[in-house]
Amino acid sequence: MKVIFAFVSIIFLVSNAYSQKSSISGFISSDSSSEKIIGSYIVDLQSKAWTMTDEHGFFKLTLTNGIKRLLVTHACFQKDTIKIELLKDTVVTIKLKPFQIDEIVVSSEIPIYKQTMMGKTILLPSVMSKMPSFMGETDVMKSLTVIPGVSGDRKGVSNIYVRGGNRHNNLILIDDAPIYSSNHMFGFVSIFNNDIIKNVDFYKSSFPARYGGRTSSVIDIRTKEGDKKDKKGQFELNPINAKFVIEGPLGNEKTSYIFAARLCNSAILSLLTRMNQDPMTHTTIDATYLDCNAKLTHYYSNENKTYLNFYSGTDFYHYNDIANSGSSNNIEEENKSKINYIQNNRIVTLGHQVRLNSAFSTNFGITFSQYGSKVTAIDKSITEQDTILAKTITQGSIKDISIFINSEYVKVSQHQFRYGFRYNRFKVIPILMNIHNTQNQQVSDTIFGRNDTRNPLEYSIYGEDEIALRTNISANIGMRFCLLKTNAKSFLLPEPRLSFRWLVGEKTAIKAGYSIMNQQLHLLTNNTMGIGSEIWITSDTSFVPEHSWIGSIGISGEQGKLQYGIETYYKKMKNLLYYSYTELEPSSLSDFSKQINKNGNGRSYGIETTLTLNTKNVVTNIGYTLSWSEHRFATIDNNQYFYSNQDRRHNLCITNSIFLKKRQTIGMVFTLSSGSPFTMPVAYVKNNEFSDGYYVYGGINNYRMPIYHRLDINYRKEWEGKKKHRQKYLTINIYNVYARANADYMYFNGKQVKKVTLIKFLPTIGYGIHF
Amino acid sequence: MGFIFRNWIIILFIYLFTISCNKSSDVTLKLKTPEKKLVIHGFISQEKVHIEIRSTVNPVKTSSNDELNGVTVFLYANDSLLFQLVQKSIYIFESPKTFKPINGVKYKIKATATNYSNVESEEQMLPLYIAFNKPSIKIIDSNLTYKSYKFLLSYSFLDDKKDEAFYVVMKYNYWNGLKIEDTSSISRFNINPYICFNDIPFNGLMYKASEEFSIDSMYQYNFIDSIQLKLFSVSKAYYLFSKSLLDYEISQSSAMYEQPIPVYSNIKNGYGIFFSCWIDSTYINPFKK
Repeated sequence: MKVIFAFVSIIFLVSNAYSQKSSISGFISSDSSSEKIIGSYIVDLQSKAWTMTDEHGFFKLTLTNGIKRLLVTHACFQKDTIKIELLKDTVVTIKLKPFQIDEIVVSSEIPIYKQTMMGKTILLPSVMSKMPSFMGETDVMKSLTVIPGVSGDRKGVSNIYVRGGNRHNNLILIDDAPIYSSNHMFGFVSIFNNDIIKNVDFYKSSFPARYGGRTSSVIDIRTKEGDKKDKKGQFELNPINAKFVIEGPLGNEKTSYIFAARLCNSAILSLLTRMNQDPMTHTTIDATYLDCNAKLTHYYSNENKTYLNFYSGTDFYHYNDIANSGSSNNIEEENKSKINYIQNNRIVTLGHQVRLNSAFSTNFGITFSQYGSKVTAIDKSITEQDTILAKTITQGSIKDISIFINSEYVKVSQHQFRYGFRYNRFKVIPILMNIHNTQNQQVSDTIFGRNDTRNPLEYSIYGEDEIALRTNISANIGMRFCLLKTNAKSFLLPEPRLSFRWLVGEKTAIKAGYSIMNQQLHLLTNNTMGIGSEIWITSDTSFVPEHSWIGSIGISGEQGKLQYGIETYYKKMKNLLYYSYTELEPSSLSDFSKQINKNGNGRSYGIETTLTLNTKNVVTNIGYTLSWSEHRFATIDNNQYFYSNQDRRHNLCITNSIFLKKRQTIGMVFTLSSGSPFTMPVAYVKNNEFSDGYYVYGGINNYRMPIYHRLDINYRKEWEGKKKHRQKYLTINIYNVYARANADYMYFNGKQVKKVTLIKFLPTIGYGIHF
Repeated sequence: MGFIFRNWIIILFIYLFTISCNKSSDVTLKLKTPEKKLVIHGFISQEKVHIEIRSTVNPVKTSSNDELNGVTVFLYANDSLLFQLVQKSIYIFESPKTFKPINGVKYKIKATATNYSNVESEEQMLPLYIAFNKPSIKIIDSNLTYKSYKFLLSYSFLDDKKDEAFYVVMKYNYWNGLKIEDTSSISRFNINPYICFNDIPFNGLMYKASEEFSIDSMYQYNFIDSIQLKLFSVSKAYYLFSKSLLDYEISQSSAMYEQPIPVYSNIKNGYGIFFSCWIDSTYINPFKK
């Protein structure tokens, strides 16, 4: 009897223990470099419960006790299955081995129908490096343009427009520090070095509450920390730049560093301008850039680290024009014009991340971000009578210091809380002009705009909860409050955020999302060339913060090897600004509001579809977007809606990657989109007593450029070098394979409509070494 | 064979690369039917109404003629019809000589033409009468051999504090009663009507200005015997028109600007400008002691 009683008791205790729940948590890192892996997918093969690692490589999964088999995967690492007997809360460290990927996807390894957040895409640097790139330089911003809902600026330029938003409406973060200009070299290259990027999270809707300050999209970039085990590096040479990366441990395996630098090869640009110059003038254009990234990370323990991240980038453009107009009285008369343009970006992040236990972690730090531009224009005119020198220096800058705290608390399996606080202090100089004139031996110096520095403060606090309502229903509910304090006025801006996912079948999900976003920084730009004066201004009594709300709903799923998604959205914007550029009179620099049309409204809506087909050696992704984007201002076109510059009715993008033997890959990207809108006159007013005649326009953006389409191809081959631990690679890129003369912009010269194609066909070769 | 093929590929790539940067090329764009609307440029001053009526033309055929028939122009005061303007020439219409506008009355014009929509201007009231104080002029440099002179011309006028005001100052040179076209590009006093300024910097105060200008011996004129200074006190409509015209010309000067700046118009169903002004003029003999 006693034996029976003891036996039954043991069975009861064991079964009771197995019916209880415990958590498995820990970090996933690379076996070779010990670098934490972001976005790794962990699933319990029995219950199908799953999770993914966060930006610090940490995961937590709550399961019923018992024998568990967990599958751990990531697009860049070999799969691993671990077996564990779960009886209590357990902390594990999992190391994945890297491999040469034979499977490439633009989106995450995690099936899109399983993600709660609608409109989120994860980009991996190894994926981007195998896509065709402009002049051989892999670019984050251009890689994003293959995603439905995202369109690029004039093709070749790194600006992106997301669902009708402008390029300054994208929040770009690099290790928690915001970026105010993402362009190098007229926008043909972005400031992001793909070799130091670990992970890119991109949101075009359903923004988590931890993000704010922009109204269109979020691009959250995390950089590598450096290999903690071995010192290694990479060198690459391509037509656009030479770049160098080195990383490794510093002293011991607790501290690591990574350093990367790029230097532009401007010889090609200079060669092309010299070939096209007018023989009567001597016009030269020189452009170059250089940038560097550096990061230092120290691990006190696996859960406790401090990091220091630094970026510095500078662009130099130089335009020189000399026109000889003949000679008079033995004096050679000539006019010389010079324009020097300097643009710089500086970012510093000092942060600390600590995980106190499996439930609670926090990340806090301080960031500094600075963007500035300076244009120096010199006009020198030598005539018989006099030498006239006019020198104008125009500059603007924005500086941003912020303190942030982000915390996460996961106590029960159904809830994952995130909350945090951010304090921003800005210093914005919209425009400062220094005019120096020398004429008739008289010199004058005048400075305009110096009293127009703005110093707003921004406080934001947020909370969000990822809730597993049921096994097939999850939601992310968040709220963000932002208090903006300017010299004249304060704004309290609430921003609710909501995402919802309902798994209707085994592999099909319906998702919906709603977000409100505000933006207190406005960008005024006079052209889309990516150079010239870009004026940042802050909100005040005249210009209130931009506001947008977006609602979206869609369905996504998987059928065999095919993944699909259909999503529709509607977005409303208000308090938009429209900059009617004119030559700024120095005396009105402190109040250039007359050039700004304000209180505009905008609306954009559309439907986006994606299809991804994964086979053994080929991955094909098709994305199609049908969309509208319109703006309206009371002072323009009688308050009628007009198509915004970002409007692209149809946008089709097909990407294809083929994996061949001997580590060769071929990537293709085909882009087809409706032409951009532009403005054409509808009539002409002949010369009269009050004018010499002028064109009249029936509205803004009343015409369309021709259809744009282009095919880019990339070939990459990797092989082992003769020396040990040395790998080499060769990339061949062809931009615009069939050399279509697409219209990058168009204008009317009075007689004929002119089309300008910046680059028609561009093959490039790049060579690199990993050591 | 492979060697030759590779060579040709390289040559082809280099050729395509070097021609890949094009200058602009022409595009055949299907243009929409050009708008045909009436264009009015004119003013009402303390003495008369002066209107020039044209029509818009095809933007790609700017030298084509206006196609105007049956044009009539009417003047309204406080929404009541006053009279039909008299046609002085093919495009010019003026008020009868007996007509004198009255302060405080809102005037507007309406115009019709065969096959055009009727147009109507915004209402305009005469601005306040502002007059020059007596200007002064003196010779500051001269070269008798070349009969060239440099003058310093000073003038002033008192702005009224009550209303927002806008001004244009023009200078005309005369010899023997004939107006000479001023070809000087340095002088602020050119006949360019774009130089319209507001009274914000000197509201209610005396506006003073001095300007140097030169007179050189040219053509058959030995010297200028008189200078006419005109002060136009204009309505805000003209200020907006002249500013937008200047902005428009700047925006046309470079293809880099994304959007052209439209020229301001206060003509309903048409284009152009109708404004009010008060003109004060004074004559100066530069050589009179």
